[in-house]
Amino acid sequence: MKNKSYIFLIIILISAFGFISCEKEITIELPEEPSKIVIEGYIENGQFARVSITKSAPYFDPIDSATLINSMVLNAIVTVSDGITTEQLHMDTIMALPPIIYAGNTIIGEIGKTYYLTVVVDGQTYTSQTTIQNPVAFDSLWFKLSPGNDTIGDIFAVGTDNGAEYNYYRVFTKNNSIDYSFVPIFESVWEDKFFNGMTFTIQLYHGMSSNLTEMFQDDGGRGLGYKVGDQVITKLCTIDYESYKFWSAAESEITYGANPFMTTTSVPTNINGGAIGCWTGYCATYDTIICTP
Amino acid sequence: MKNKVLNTFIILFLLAFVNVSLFAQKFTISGYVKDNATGEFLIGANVYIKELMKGTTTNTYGFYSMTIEKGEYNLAGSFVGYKDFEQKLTLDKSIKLNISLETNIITTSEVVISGEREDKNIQSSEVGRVEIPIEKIKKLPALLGEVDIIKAIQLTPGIQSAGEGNTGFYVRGGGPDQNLILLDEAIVYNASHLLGFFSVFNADALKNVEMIKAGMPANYGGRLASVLDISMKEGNNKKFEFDGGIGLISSRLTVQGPIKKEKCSFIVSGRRTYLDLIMQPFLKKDSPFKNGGYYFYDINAKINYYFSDKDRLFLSGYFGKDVFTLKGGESFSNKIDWGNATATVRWNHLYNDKLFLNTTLIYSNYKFNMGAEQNFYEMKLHSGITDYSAKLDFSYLPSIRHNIKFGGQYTYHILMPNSASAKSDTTEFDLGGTVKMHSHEAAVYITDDFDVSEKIKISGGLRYSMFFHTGPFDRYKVNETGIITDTISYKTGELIKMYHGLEPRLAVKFGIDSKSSVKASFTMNYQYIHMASYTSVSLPTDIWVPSTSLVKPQIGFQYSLGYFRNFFKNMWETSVEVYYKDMRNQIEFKEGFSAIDNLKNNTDNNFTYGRGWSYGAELFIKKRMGKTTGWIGYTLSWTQRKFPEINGGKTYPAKYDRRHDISIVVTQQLGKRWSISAVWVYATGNAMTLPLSRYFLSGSIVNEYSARNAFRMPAYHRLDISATFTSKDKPGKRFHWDLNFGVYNVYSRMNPYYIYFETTGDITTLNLQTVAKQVSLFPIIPSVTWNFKF
Repeated sequence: MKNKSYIFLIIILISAFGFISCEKEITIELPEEPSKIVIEGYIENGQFARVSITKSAPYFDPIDSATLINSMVLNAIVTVSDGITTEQLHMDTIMALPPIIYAGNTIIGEIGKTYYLTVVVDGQTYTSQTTIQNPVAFDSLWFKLSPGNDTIGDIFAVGTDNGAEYNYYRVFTKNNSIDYSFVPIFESVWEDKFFNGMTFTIQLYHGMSSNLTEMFQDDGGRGLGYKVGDQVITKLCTIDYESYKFWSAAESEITYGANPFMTTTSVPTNINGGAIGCWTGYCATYDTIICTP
Repeated sequence: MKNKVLNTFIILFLLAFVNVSLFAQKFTISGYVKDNATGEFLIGANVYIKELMKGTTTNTYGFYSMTIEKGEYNLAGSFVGYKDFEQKLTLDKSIKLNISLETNIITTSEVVISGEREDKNIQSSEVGRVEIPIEKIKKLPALLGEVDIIKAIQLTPGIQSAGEGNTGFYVRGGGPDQNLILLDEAIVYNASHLLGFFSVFNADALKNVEMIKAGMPANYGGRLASVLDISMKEGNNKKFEFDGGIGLISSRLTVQGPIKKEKCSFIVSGRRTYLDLIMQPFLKKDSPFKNGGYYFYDINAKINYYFSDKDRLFLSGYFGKDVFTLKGGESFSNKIDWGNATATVRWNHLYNDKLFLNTTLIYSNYKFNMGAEQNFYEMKLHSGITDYSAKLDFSYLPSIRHNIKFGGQYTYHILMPNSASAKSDTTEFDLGGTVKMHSHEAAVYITDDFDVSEKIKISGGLRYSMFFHTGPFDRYKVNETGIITDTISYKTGELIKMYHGLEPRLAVKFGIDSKSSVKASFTMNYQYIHMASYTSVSLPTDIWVPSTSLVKPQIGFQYSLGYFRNFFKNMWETSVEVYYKDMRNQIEFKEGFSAIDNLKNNTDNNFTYGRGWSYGAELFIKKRMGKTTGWIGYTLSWTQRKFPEINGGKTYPAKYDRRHDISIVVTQQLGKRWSISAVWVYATGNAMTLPLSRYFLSGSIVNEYSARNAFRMPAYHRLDISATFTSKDKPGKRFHWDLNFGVYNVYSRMNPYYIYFETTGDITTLNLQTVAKQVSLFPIIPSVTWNFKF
């Protein structure tokens, strides 16, 4: 609900002039900006910690295989602690961008616990902490065909919020017909301000796995929806306030970052020491639905 | 320090009054100055006693009064566009003299005596006042042929356009909410149609436009930067008159006439665009604009009754709206509308020939509505402000050396910053319902224009203003993480917070000789209601909020100094002015704010506060008379802000910091029937924040941004030309017309409206490049408008 309506409003007002406006390419000189360390780390209940560490690059630098390789930080010392045990994460390869991450094999995420992250790169230390929240699960899920369509439809979910506490959510879906991994839904980050303690219904718009590949992904005509016969796994996560602040801003930037009508401020971080990014603790519940009309 | 300033003012006032001579026998000449043909009274007309080299000007209701010693005099009356009036008179008792001025018909060979007091810019103490007669505005080239008074005043130094597609204008580095825009004394909150392309003012219905950018006199208040005071015509009280025009995208019609000859007259003026209808045949069937589209309309209406020279009643109203509809098949529809409505009732009463009173009752409303529907999801959003006001304004003219005004005003504001409702299928979201905020604003003032001596003239005034925020109101108390920890409910009428302050105003003119003078001014202003904008461009989604226990009133101090000189018998006017403004308690939304933070919360929990200041120099050269007239204005200025919670507490340029601003306007009369004009404007580009670097996050690219407003868009410049062909004017001929041809943006400069970045290339081989692109709105646009009058 959120920003979406304001985006509509703004885009509509501006697109009114689409038929008379003109576009041209221009050159802009940007000053040299020192590279920052980007830490993207997760720990989920029942899973090991995983952290990816990269560097930021100047805005106009081309994005190609060379810059991607250059952006990876491979000499970091990454440690995770639950207050009692500490483990150093080891490097691992995965099927994603970037392809190398630091993964744990000792500490498993538990509900209610706080986890501390320490990263040392080139003599600089960066720290953060996150807490895995209490679980919330969807009460039900259903699939409904889009009006006037007999193959594509939408998935809706109903959940009940815990009125006694402040809850922040992030929702993902994995459509086994087209996704390799969980993809956050469109507008995936929520707080319970508007439905505290109530039952809420949300439409699980299928999101984009990457704003880079978005335009080139073949979704078989599904758009924001799902096709009859798709097997979809939903993942409802609860997160803490700091992670909510980060992902709320990051998602806005990922989806609408190119829109000149949004305020342009850098995404806030929950990492101390001068790095950017987020150390997020997820408490996830999973459900499966087969799209049948 | 404050007490000292106050004491000085009080002493100055007492001295000023003591100076009023009580000894010689004095009589008063008073009356109204009117247009001979239509009966319209004239605002700011000059009435002058040649022997004394002193005079006065008519007030907003055309009334003048001069109290001078018994004797024989030559009285002269004059006004722009009219023939001078002269009359010998013997003053041995107080007399009433109503003056009817005849319109001046422009002749080809003579140098035109414009009729305004030639050295007005040198002699008056009005330091920051800009007057552009409506008739001159109509001759300037206009976008799509739409004459626009706000665009015209932006051609003078110190007043800057917010840019194409942005509502509002900036005066000496002040924000768009710092301008007090009045139409027949009612505040107009959003003076723009179509995102600022056109203003809401239909020039055919207007009599006078006055812009005050410095030295704001004490009878005005509530805004820091400027006053744009617009008066509607009363309506021809001698015969019926029809004016109108048919243009490319809009048409207008004005009907005025007497209901009872010379006693009661009316004027009704309307305008509408038909852009939506014209576009329909050009739209593709699946275009969202099909069966939708955009239109706006305005209606100005006024009726006045002249009981006698002592009493007059006026009733005026303005209604205007912009409506925007978008439909996308069956699943998507969106309607946005916004508009102002104002109504004023005024009663002029003349107690005696020295004391004039105007009583006004005002209603003003601005509302913005949006409704959106998509599949099962529906949302409505409203914001707006409603004012109920009353004003008492006295004019007291005890002698020709003093023009004293005093009075008071009271306004009840009802603000609705943000109200929304939304539902998804059957779930109704709790968005906090309709939130209304109640507040009361009041002020009393006294001001005097005092001719101290032949060379020195002082305008001094004091205004005392107050503001009350009252219930019903729910205050949500939030902790540092933004979570609401407590709610305090205030009952109806319960006082939540009060603010008040004294606003001294001073403007002084030191005449050097008959051709030149130096003027200085100092003003202090409070502003109690504010506009909060959360996009980098101004949109009708900007909301008005009152001062509260968290939001302090804005305070502004402005200092200005200017040197004015005329050349060649007042044919050329020149001036150089410098100014410095200090603005406190400026408001911005907190960084990282998102629009829903406003719902089920107090809007002011999302604000952060800081300081702004601006300074600059303005150069102005104007040729007033002759077949060729025009002006050049150049402004060099800086506008900066410093907020502890924005940009890491470091000083940054305001969005509208405009280093250079140039306007060149030339109008040439060619023979009896043709006139051409050209306008060239140049402005340094708007400040913007740009991304400096990028990084990966979950496989997507995210930007890191520069310091706030660290970059400039490319400069804006544009040339417009227009030519007007007028029908033959024969005496007795009733039907007049003119044909106006215009070209906007003659050399089709692609001025940037916004800049965005596009990433292109081949993702499969992971070879992408980002380029910067700029979007421009208006290339070269020709227009034709046919105007008529009968």
